[in-house]
Amino acid sequence: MVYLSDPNQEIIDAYGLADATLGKDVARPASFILDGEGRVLWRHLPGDWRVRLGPDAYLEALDHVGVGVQSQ
Amino acid sequence: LGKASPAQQLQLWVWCLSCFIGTVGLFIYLPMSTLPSLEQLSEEPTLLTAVYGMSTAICVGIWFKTRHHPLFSDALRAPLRVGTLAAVIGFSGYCTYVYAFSQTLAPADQAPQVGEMAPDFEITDPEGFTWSLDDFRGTPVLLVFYRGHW
Repeated sequence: MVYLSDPNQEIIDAYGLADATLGKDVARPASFILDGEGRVLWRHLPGDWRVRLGPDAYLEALDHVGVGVQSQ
Repeated sequence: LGKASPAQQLQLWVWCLSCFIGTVGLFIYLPMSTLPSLEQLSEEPTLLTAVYGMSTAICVGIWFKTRHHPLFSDALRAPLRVGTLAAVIGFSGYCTYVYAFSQTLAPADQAPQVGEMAPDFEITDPEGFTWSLDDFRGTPVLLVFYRGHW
């Protein structure tokens, strides 16, 4: 697991995730599952910045799109 | 109420009760249970709006029918009038809220869709290592954008 900081919002802007409801200077919480080629298999974009997924939801999503531990 | 037959009294109470449920039920329970969850609202606002609108229409209908009804005293009409007014104001406020919310979010969905390629990036971590999405070619990636500690 890698933690990265994007202080200049380069990646956030490249992914179109600047939060319009809060002045565009923070990222919307967003999650993507990519396959081995970088294609989006699943994404989660809550409208509310207070909504964040927990580990269980991610494990379920990974299994759901067929790249989770249980599905391999 | 003394002049009304039992059937008419029953009708009166059903009207009052439905108005009470329509206003108290919808305008206290629904906002508390659904409005804080903006995510839900952004995903399926149509059904909620329909239910809300229908209830408001029922309230207005009850108020309209009982406006000049001889069986309704002023003491009965007053809560119906207040309830209907609350329903109309609540529904208008709700619609404004949904509209404003949809407007602020509408331009925000420029994120990669399912099936699209995720934009590649390069970024340096605090220890000086440069990471790029390309480094993870061949393995699935879970990418989480998080706004920090608050």
